[in-house]
Amino acid sequence: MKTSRPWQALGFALCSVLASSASAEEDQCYLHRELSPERLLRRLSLDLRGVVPDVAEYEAVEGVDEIPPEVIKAYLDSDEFRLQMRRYHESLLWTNPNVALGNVNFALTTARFPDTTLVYYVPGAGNSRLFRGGDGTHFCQNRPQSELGYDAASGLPNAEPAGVDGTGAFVAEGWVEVHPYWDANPNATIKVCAFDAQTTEKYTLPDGDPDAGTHSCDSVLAIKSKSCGCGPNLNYCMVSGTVQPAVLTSMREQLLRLVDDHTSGQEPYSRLITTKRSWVNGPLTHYATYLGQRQSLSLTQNVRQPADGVLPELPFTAADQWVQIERESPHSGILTLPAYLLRFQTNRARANRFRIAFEGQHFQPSGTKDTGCAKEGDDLTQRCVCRGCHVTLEPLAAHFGVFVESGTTALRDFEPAYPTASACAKGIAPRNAGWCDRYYSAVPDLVDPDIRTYKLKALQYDDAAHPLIGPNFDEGPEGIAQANIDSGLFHVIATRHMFEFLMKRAPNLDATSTDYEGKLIEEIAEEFRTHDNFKLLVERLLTLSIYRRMP
Amino acid sequence: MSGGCIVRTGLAALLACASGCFVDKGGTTPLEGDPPFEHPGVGAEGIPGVGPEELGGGALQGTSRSVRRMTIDTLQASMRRVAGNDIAGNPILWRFNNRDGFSDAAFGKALGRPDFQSSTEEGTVSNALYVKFVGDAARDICTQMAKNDLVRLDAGTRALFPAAPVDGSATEAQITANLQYLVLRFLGLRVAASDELLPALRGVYDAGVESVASPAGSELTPAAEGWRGVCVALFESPLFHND
Repeated sequence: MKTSRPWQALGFALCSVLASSASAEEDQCYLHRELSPERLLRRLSLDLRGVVPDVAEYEAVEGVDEIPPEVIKAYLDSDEFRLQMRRYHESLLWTNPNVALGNVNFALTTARFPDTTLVYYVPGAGNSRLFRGGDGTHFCQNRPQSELGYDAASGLPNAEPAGVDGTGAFVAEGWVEVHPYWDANPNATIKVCAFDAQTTEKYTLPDGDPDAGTHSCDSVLAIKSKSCGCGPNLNYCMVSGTVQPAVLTSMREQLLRLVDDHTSGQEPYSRLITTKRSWVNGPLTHYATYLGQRQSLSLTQNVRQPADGVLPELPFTAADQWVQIERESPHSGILTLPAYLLRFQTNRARANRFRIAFEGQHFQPSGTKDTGCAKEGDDLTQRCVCRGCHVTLEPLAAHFGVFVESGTTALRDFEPAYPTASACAKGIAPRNAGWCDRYYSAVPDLVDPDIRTYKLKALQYDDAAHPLIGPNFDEGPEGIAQANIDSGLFHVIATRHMFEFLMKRAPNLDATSTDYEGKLIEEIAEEFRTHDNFKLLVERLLTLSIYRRMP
Repeated sequence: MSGGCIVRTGLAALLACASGCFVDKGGTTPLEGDPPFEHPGVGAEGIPGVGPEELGGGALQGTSRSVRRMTIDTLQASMRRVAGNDIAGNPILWRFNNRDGFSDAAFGKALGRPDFQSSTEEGTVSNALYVKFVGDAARDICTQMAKNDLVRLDAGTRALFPAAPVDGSATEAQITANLQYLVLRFLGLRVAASDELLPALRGVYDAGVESVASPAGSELTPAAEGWRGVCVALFESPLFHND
């Protein structure tokens, strides 16, 4: 056969002959037959290790009646099984966050001068205008700041007039050389515009200012002080292309490390969704310590809270150094890790994924006409058609309301409500109406609409018409997770998912069918609930005869 | 039934039926006249009931495990394992622009590996794209395997032709033994020398040998080309891709 693709054609021919050989033997095609040891070994290896066996492994089972238990045990104890279970859980949870962690207020960008000198600066117009005047598009000049010096009284870098733009005159300072925290080489430096490279950690607003007092430069609200820059080693700023991927990758790995712990058989599987334990590394520690609180209020909010636990002292470059930490309530296993909260950014999405992954249920719109409902209005639990799902979804979503939407900030220590907009804005120092709008909703009083209480957004509908919102908010994700475990549903659904993974089909749950497998699932789930050991569940499912037949 | 499963139209359809229709050649082949080890759980229409008399009758068994195509992760790992290492000890990979062809930097995403952001589920159907890239991967990997084997002096260390020399001196028995070895290595099937599967593969081998009109100047010897062809055919077999 001398076509341009002879082997493909021959491959097709071979497959036809394979099928024909069955015909020649008995003119039968048995749908159900126990697998040969080699083929069963291959199936086990693919399912448990994600790879076919090698020839030596095939040779080791030649002539055996069944695969020795120690082979299965070795597969289950292998690192490849750990990786398989990572993939399995990612398929279940989709937890690969991809959000913007930097913004113009603290993300450094670069410019190249004619002599090829590369300089870093913060491109945010507000900062630039504060430092240099003009329209906010200017940065430093190409000379060391040491030539210009610093103001003796304020300590600010001296700057020289550099021109006039449409809004007026502007000045330009020089650059300084700084070792950036993201570079593992301690001797490496980059050139950074001197205003942006300031190492000041605190600033003070004078008496008479409404926000008089000392505040941190490491804050999204540190925009009033000309003395605030990127802090020591540029800690408060980032090069998005370098820092963001490291943090996002670490968030993904952080969740998968918990998966490792609870699928290895060492930790109870159900604790995967309730444990307070977590892992952090250098990038996560640095991000939580310095960068999370700098994100614009209009973007994701990841402000570290006491509930997040005490962080170890790790440099950003310690990406491979993982340390366990203990979080506090309302944290609950993987459900409150950044990888979950940032992958599912609304409380509804978080509740929906929880319901799919751990309660085995999907929302489906009703197929019948909805009557006796509200045709207009914001309350989705009352609106026609919407309410079919939202009556169930809203109370579930309230469990996740104790974490900010589009962010990971735990709201346990936030005031649940403020009586006025002014009081709400003073909830943070220096006061900020934008902060209030980000976390709180104005809820008009039922009697006097001019009185508007500012409630945490998740509590907007916490009233007599929605009696579950408040209690579920108070319970947090822990409440829904524990109820899921206590009811036995967690283990039933986990058994069902693993059955589907191993059997390559869903169990037959049609109780009227003679092939009904619901009882089998319940039986195995009950055993699983008792030992709560994920590996034993897998082992148990592998003993089923349906796994060992072909096809 | 197996006749009905002889598929001539495409690999996708083959993937769906081949495993079910292929009679296992291993040690569990029933004696002639015996009923099959277990009986179908449902008839062709999916209605449960009693097994056909010629299959031994009796109550039908429940539905067994199903069969799916490998995921891209498992395909990548499995082709790598079957291919083994090159003479420098590095794994033989499908190379595309100096990258692993199955990686996300090459065709991993196009082949359907989910990133759980823009794609969240991996379809395990064998579409035209899958078949095309598997063909590309098989040709590249098999060529590397053959070239590396040619410079291995110890036959026992060869991945593709450990049991048959490729200098034209191989006996019929050696060629058959090597075919048996490859079927085990690639498909996990232990077949007898008389198995009906082998003549088909032998046909592939012979076609490869004949395709090298003039050994002089060719990268591979005729026999090595024959084994490369068998390698490609086995990598493209549905029995390799089904788990």
